[in-house]
Amino acid sequence: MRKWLVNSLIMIICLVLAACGGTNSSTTSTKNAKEKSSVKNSQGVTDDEILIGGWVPQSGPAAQWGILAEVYQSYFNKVNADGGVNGRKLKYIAIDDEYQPSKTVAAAKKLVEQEKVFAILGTTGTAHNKAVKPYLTQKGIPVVAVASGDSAFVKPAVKNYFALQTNYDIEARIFSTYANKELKAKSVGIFYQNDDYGIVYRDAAVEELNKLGIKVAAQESYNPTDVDFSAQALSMKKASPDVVFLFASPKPAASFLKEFDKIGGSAERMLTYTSADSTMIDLAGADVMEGVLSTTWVKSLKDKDNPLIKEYVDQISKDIPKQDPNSVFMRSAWAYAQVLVEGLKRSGDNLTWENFIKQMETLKDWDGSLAYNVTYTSDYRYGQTSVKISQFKGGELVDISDVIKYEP
Amino acid sequence: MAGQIIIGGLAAGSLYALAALGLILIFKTSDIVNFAQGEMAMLITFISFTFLTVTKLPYFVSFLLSLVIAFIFGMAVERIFMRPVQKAPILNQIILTFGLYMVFRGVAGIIWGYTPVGFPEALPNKHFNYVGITITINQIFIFVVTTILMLGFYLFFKHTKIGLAMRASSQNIATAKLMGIGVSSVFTRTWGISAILGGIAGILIAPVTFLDPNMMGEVGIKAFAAAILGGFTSLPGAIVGGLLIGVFEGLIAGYVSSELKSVFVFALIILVLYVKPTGILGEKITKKV
Repeated sequence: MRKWLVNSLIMIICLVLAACGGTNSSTTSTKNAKEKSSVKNSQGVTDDEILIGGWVPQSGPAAQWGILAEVYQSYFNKVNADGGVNGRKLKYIAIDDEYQPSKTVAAAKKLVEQEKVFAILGTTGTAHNKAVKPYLTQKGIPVVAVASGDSAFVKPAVKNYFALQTNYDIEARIFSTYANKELKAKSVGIFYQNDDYGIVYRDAAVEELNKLGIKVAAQESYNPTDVDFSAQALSMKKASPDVVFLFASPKPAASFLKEFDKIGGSAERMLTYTSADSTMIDLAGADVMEGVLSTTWVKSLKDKDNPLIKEYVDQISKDIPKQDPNSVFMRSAWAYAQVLVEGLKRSGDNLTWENFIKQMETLKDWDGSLAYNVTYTSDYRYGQTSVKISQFKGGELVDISDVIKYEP
Repeated sequence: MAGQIIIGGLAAGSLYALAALGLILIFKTSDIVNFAQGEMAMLITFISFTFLTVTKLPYFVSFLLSLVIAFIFGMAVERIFMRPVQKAPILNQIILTFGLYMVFRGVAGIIWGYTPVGFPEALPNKHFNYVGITITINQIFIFVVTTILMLGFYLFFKHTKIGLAMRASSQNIATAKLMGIGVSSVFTRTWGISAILGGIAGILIAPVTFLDPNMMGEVGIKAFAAAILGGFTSLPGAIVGGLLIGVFEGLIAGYVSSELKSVFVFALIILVLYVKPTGILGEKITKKV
C-alpha cells in the first residue's frame, strides 16, 4: 500500500515537473525563434524541403471536402516537378479531423508541435477554424487561405491569417446589390442554414436589403442534417418573393430547389458560391438549376488559352483523373495553394514566419492564380473581393458578368 | 398550407417507415437491433447505382439485380459476422452491428467516394395538383410500396410456417431447436430478407436524400424513432410511427420553427412512451415460465 502511495506521489511530481518544463521550453523556443529570425529559418524548413500542413475531413459527414488535400498535393507535385520553390521541394501533410472541432484542435497542435510545419494551408470548417484560431494566433504560424469566408478571420485583421475565398458577408451584399440593380427586386426571400455559416449570410443580407429598401418577405431556415424541405419550400412560395437567396450547403439547396420547383414556385434564385458547383446539376437536375445565379471567385475553365487554366487541367487530369476538373471546389483549392506558394517564392531564402508574412503583404492585385486581384496588406486580409456573376445555363455554370470588385 | 404540409409529412413519414421495416424484422426474430441496417441499405443503393451508370442497365433490371445481391449480402453478413456471436449476450451482438455500421460506411467511402450524387426516381417525375395541394407519383408509390411490404410481412408472420418459425426462434432458441426449427437458417434468411427491405428503402429514399455514404444518417435515426414509437415488434406500428413523425415534424416546421422540429418529435416520443411504454402498437412482453 505504502509502495503504491510513494509510486503515485513520484508520478505526480514527475508530471508537474514535466508540465513546468514544457512551458519553460516553449518560452525559450519562441525566444529562440525571435533570435533566429535574422539568421535562421522558421520550423519546417530544411535546405531542400518546406513542410506544409493542414486538416481536412477525409471521413465522416463532410468527407467530400477531403478532395481539397488531393488538390493541394497535386499543385505541389507540379511545383516540385518544376524544381520546387527556390530549390526546396514542398512536402504536404494532411490530418483527418473528421469534421469535428475537438479533433481539429488536436490536429492543429500536432501540426505545429510534432510535425513542425512551416505554414498551415486551406483548412476546412468555420467552427473548426474558429476553435483553433486563438492557439494558432498565439503561435504566430502563418495560416493561408482558411477554407471559410467567415469574417472572424479578417475582421479585424490578424497578423498570421490570410483569407482568400470570398467573404460570406460580402457575398450576401453582392447578392443584395445585384437583386436591386439587375433583377429590380421588390422583395427577397432567404433560405439559410441555421448555424454560424448561414446566419452570417442572413444577417448581412437583411441589413443590406433594408438599406436598399427591399422587403425581406421570408426567412426560412433548416438544420444541417434535415432531409425534408417541403415545409420551407411551401412557406417560401406563399411569401412569393421576387428573388430567393439560398445560403445553404449543396444537398439541402438542391432538395429545396427541387421541391420549390415541384410546387410551382417561381422566382429568380441566387445560390451562394460555396454550393454553386457542377454537383448541383447531378443533385437537382439541369432543368431545376436552369437560370440559378451565383458568384464565382475562381477563373473559369472556358478560357482554355490561359496558361493558368492549362497547367491546372493538365496536372489535375494526371493526379486526380477520377474527378471532374471543372469543380469549383477543386479550382478554389488550387488557388489556395497558388497563393501560398507565391508567398514562399517571394520570401526567397529568408524563410521565417516574419518574412513570409511581410512578403505576403506585397501581393497587390496579383493575378497569377485562379483567383482575381489577390491583395494583402497589414490590415486588409480578405485576399480578394472580386467576383464574377455566374449562372447555370444548359447544365453548366457560366460567367455572365465582368469582374465586380466589392470594396469592404 | 396545412394540407400540403400533411402530404409532405406523410411522404417523409413513409420513408421513415420503409427504413424501419428491416429493423423490426431482425428484431422480431433475434432480439437484435441492427445498427448497420441503414448502411447495408446504402451499400445496396450504391450497387444499384453502379448497375445503372456503369453497366447502363434499365432502372427496374438494376433494381431487381441489386435486390438479389442484397439477399446474398444479408445472408453473408449473418453467416460471417453474426453467427459466431450468436450465443454471446444480446448487447455484444448489438455492438457488433454498430461496428459493421462503421465498416460499411468506410468501405462505401473508399469505393464510391463521398461526393453526393443524384439518384433517379422510380417513376417519371409527374405531379398532380388538387385544391392547391401538390403530390407526386413517387410519393404515392413509396407510400404504396411501404404499405404492401408491411401487410405482406404482417400476414407472413401470422399465417405461414416460416413466420411461425421466426417468431418461435425469437422467443427461445433452445426450445425452437427442440421443436425441429432450423434456427440458424431462419436467422440467415431473416438477415437476407431485411437486407432486401433495406435495399428497397435505400433505392426509394436516395432520390430524396441523394446518394452518398452518409445518406441514411438522418433517415436512419428517424426510422429508429418510428420503430420505437410504433412498438418495436409491430410492423403496422412502424408505419403508424413513421407517418406520425413525418406529419408532426412538418407541422412543427411549418407553424412553429424548423429548428425545433426534431426536438418536438423526440419530446412526442418520450410522451408516448411515458403513457404507453410498449409503443403505440407494441405487444406487451410477457415471459412465460
